[in-house]
Amino acid sequence: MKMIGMGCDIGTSATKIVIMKDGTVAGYGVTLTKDKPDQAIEKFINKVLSNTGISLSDIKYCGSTGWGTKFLSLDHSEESLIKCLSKGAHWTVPTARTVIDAGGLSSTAISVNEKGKPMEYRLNDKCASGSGRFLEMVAEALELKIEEIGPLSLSAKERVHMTSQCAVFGESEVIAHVNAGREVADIVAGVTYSVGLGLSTLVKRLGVQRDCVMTGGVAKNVAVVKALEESIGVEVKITYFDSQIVGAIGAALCAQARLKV
Amino acid sequence: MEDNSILSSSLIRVRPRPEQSAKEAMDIALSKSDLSLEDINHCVSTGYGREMIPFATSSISEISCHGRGAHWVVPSIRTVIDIGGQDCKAIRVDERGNMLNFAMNDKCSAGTGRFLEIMAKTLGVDLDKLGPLALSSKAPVAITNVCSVFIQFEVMCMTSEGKNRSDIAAGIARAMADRLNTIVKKVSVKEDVAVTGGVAKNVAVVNNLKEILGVEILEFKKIDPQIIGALGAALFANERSQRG
Amino acid sequence: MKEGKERELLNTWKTTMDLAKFVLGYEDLTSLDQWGGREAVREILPDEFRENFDMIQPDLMDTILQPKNRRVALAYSDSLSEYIEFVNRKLDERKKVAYYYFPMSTEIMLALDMLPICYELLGGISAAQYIHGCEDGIDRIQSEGYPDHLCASQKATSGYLLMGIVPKPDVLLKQAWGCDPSNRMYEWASVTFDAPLITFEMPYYYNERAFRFLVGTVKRMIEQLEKISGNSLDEEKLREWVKIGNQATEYLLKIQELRKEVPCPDPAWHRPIDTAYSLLIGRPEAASYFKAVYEDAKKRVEKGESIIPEGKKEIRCAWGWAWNAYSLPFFNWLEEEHGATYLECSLTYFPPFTGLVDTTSLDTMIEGLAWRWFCWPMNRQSMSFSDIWVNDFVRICKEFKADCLMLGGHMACKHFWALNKLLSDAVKEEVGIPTLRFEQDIYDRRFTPVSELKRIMNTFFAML
Repeated sequence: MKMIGMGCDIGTSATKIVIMKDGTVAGYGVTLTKDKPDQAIEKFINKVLSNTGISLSDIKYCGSTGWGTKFLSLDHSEESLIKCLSKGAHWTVPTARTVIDAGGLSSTAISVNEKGKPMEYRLNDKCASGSGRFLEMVAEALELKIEEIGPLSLSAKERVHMTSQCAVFGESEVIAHVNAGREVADIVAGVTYSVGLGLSTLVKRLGVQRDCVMTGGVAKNVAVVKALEESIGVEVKITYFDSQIVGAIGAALCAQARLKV
Repeated sequence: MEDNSILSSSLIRVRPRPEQSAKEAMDIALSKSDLSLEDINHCVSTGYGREMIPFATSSISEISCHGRGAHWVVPSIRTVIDIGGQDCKAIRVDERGNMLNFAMNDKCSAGTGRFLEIMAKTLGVDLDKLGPLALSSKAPVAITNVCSVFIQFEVMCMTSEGKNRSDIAAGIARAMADRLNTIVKKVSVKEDVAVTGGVAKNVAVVNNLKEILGVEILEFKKIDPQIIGALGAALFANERSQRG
Repeated sequence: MKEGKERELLNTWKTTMDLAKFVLGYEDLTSLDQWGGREAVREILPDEFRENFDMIQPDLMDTILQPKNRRVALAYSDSLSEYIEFVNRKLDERKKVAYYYFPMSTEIMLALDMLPICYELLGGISAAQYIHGCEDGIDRIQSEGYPDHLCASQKATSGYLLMGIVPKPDVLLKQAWGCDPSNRMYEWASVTFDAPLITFEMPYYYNERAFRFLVGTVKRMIEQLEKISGNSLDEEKLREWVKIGNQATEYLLKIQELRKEVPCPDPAWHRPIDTAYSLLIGRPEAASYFKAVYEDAKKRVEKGESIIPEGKKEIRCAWGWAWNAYSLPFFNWLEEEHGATYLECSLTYFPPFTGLVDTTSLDTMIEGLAWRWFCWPMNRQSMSFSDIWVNDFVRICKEFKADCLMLGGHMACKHFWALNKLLSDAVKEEVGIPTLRFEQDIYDRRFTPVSELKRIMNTFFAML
């Protein structure tokens, strides 16, 4: 039976839509979450559907998660983000036992069992150190594109040592280093190292078990992933699908599970 | 300063390098009082960049300077709350303006001037308009987060939801005063209390602080609260030059 | 009620208890809204209650009026009133005031005709009852320079002592565990108020030899107390108090067995109060309180009644650290909102082998009391390394059929934070249930406000 469904993860920075068909990802899209999300989300959903060649009436189930779920006007079930990340990561990497989600504002480390069920988690939703937002602030200050930060960090000769954990003070520190004449590559290397270290503190408190999978937008930054790997001493796998859509995949899976009941 | 009175002062936004800032500010102050660098007997530097000022004779921590400076202006002051750009401190002084006890936050930006700068930018107003904007509010919003970045996001959501900007500004002032209270509580507040540093100029923050602490807060009417640290440094310079 | 600034705190509690009994007296009243809400109720109250009413947490009133909670609420009010009257009487008689650390019972002090007051009780009851909790005490001691990261259970009382609103100690009794914050605070109190400090060592290891050592230290403690009180320990007198203490203990152990029933028949809001009365074991108030809790839960089991709303699935929670004292209604909310029942925690769990004290002779009684203190929650877990705490909770999760482990760790409890991961790992491995870990301050709501607690719970229960 061709079960077609949708998963939505409406985060503070990005909105992710996934279309599932025959047990696989048929299509997906990632866009920035707008100021007035309701209409923008509907428009974006239509765009993703048209790219996939599926119509709205074909969608038999829809799960939604994330901060902006309340803005989704389509019929949907609300799913817990922790559950979605766990299920989604497990579906993409069945050997996953530790999931590290590094999103726009908050980061989460989740310990999952062999069935993809979340057993324990650690949230950091109080402090923006280690957040995608911090990287965005640095990119803006240095007039770089966010995608450039990772590769540029890897080319650094002498990584700058960041003294502040705080994203706000960190931004001032970056500007101070620029004025002191430090190389931009060295500066971003310091920043990505600091972000990686912040994430590793979070996951170490939880306890790392192989396999370790990283999701969210920040997982696309190779330098952060490398710093995290070095700090926890375990390989960090990135999902072969876009690391940002794992939550949305999980949302679709959760909604699908409800149908069977 | 000369013989216990202020000749001139200056206040500028910092340049990338502390030496540049110090020179520029010093040049302005000197020209206002028609003096040159050679006329200065003793110069004390304070603040983050204090060790990097070439023309400073000696340096002293800004905690002592804020305490001494505030006390000189109003001798009945026993508690000084300094809210600067990157940190905030609560300082207890004795009847001679000497420091008895202090508590400081320099780890977290909420509770510092930086926080207000970010908020002003997010609301699309000038920093000095933030206080008056807050005062016109009748129903301050409740800010639920504690991190500047998270609060910034919260504020962005509120503005897009169409919440009243003066209510948001009032909520911000309250949140800031709450953060300050955690530091201030660590020293036993004794009246008279004064606020120094740039944030002293935000009336809404000061009002909220008054309410939370349950004490009157003295205003510096004739002197810019941002120069109190430098004033204290000048007083120490006076003492040190007399000792010879 | 006698006047005197040092009775101020307890007299405030007394008025609150009278008010509670007054309101509970209206048997058909199940919430303040029934009578038109808080404002309307305030108008109806007799004058002498109004000021006190304004201080009480509004949702606490509604919680105790709920039919399932009333019986125990009344028992709590009656018992606390009696204890306060006892304190006032002994103060009138100018008896020696003995401040003691919570994990012990009061029989020996009572037999020596002293007035036992638990240091940690004073902050706890205020935290539980009032909107402002015990914040004034905490802030007072902190403004003297006492570090904010230490334990609020001592901070509050220390502040109250400085404010002069609780009686001054004539002697302080402290089990010397590895809890530095509490050890230091008792030393501070001893020096500040010029009262002798008697420490008795809790041994490191948990075996026969260690127990013998403890009995020895308790005997030395008794010698010193005899000197201070000016009385010698009389066997008959001690027997009287120990019998009353045994009553309370018997009920307490039976209640624990009842909590194993599915669904759990014992409402959660009063767990902090259970700890409050367990430290008063020896007093008749404690016995009558635990009797009421037991009978209340027993009746529910017999009738097959549930404490969670119809249609909700029970989620049985083992609390690996414990409750907080500042929002009893929060624990009620867990039942109502999530069907989450509270099984045992490290401040309420007495292992079944605690048993009762043998009253045959002075020696058996001293040994029996020492044994009970050896088994006491928190004393027990403070000894040895993490094995006791971890093993206790693996056992609790299995025997009580827990669905999840709640680790609401007190921010000041270094011992807990050192072993918490060992605990959650062991439970995951041996019982296969998920864990929620979060920080709270046991007495100070400002650290993790109730709205934050609810948010944390909502996230966790959505995940299950």
